Amino acid sequence: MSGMILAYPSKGRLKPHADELFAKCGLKITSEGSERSYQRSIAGMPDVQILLVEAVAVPGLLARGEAHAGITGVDLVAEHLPDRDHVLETPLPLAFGAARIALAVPQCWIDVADLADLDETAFQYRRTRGRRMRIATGFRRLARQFLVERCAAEFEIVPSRGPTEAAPLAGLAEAVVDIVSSGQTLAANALKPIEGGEILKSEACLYVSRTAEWSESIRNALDRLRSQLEETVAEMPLDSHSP
Amino acid sequence: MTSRADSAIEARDRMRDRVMSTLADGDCERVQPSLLQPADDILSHYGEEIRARACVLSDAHGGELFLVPDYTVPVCRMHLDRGGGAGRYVYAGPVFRLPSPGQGEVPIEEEQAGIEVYGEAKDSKAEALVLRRTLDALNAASDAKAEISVGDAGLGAAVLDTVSMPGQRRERLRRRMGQPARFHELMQRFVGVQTVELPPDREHLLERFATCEEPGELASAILEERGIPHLGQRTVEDIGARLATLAAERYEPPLDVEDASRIGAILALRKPYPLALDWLKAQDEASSPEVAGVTETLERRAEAFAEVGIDPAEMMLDARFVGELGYYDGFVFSIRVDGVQVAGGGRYDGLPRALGGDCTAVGAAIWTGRLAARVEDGELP
Repeated sequence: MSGMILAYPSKGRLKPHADELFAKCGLKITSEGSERSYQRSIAGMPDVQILLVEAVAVPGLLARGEAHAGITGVDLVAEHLPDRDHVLETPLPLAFGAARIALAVPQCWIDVADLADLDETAFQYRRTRGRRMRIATGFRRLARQFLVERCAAEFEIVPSRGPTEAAPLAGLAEAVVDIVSSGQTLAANALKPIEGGEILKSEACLYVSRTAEWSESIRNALDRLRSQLEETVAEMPLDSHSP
Repeated sequence: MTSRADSAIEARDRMRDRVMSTLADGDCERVQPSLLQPADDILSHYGEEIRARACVLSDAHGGELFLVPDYTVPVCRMHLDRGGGAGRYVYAGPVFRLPSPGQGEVPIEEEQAGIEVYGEAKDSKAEALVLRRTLDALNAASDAKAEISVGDAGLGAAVLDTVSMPGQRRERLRRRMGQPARFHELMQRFVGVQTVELPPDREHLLERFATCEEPGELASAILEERGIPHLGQRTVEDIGARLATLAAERYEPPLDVEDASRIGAILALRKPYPLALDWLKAQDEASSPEVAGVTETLERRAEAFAEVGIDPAEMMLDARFVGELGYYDGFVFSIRVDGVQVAGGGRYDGLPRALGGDCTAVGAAIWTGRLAARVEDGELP
């Protein structure tokens, strides 16, 4: 591929909103060739190639310079690129995908309302059962750092395979650290957030790689795309910041 | 022709070798535990200060490893794996920790040398031996004056025992013994000076549990009331029991202000050892069996020091000092040179027990890197 490579979410919660934003900008995404291919382009922007990838893959692609720019969440960058500023430029928030990474515990833990409760409960759990309380999460690094900094008790971080919120019910963990927006998914799985349990606020952003190979024309292509997005985002009312 | 850098490295090696041979004094085995240890096994035995700054890595199977922040736990594990009992070891090697806030981004690596003595009689002789050898080893590295500070983890616990209070309260204060600010905060809360305001629904919940005979049943009934399904390993008994304890604490009469200030006064004790002992013996609390027990231990320890040529008048006794590593449960000491901590150690009989063994344990570590750097820079003689 020549020209600027933009990593774009192929599925998941960010995709429909990214599609909507691009449509609002008047940017039409077309496929050249088979629908099954992961390459796309933008009508009227021949210098930009779109690579459809999972949002979780975007930070790695940008860090390795395999894409010039990409759309993904603050949460995924924080988890997978702790030294973000070395490899990424300042991101452009895109006014969608607002969510937070937070601790959630079973609703039936009526004695646990805040982080201090969880800390004490985990401490006693370890003492009576001889093993650590398990926290299932896809955000292993962020969860570990948060818990180590804020809690005296030791937890076991369990990588979640499949939906994180199902882990306690399935007996794979006692609590979770998960991405929460409306809280409906948590409630549907008989979980609840706790006071002081918010780890990070997230939203979707356009990230730009420092390590990719840039040329003047590729830079120009980025600037054109960027200013289109920036203009449209600025015009959107604040409460259209949809979860 | 050796470069200046070579001779700096050689000088450090020689200092480390002098320190090691002084510590070993012909009767210790040199060991070299792995720098990488499994987190599950070893890391949990350190206190939260160390755990929070441990350099943790993942292995290929999703398990966790960490770089040693200190050698005592790995050496203890090694000793137990060999059968436990009596044994004397020395070691030297790097230790690793993440920087504290404000120390920058780069993990910190320092050189340490140390001695561990297992399976000797549980009296002050082994403690005096370890302290003596540590002082001698420091002398072999630098002529600077050593400032010795000692404590005993049993003193704070004994003082708390002189005041009647719910077990939970005592336990929480004990956990915070080494952190003066948090200890004080807890004391204030228990005295009632800082009454915590609870959200109304929490207050109502606790009220229900204060007068309840069967907390597990009540918890179960509340879940049914609220249409909340029970899930997970924590039982309704666990949940109810905790609420009953919290209720008891909340509605328990506050800690007596007099008691609190007497505890505070004793824990503020920091004097040269003989003066500290005299002061302690003069306190009312000294008549309680727990404190009397500790003062006797402190006296016998002073005698044991004197027997190996350490003058107790040359060291400070600090009632708050319990050691930051989390496994010390008796005698603990720290040595500073020119204001910088260069050695620390103590008794940690609880650690072999926690690792599944059963033997006494006393040890110390010296930060040879810190010492060497200052000697090289000419800051220390």
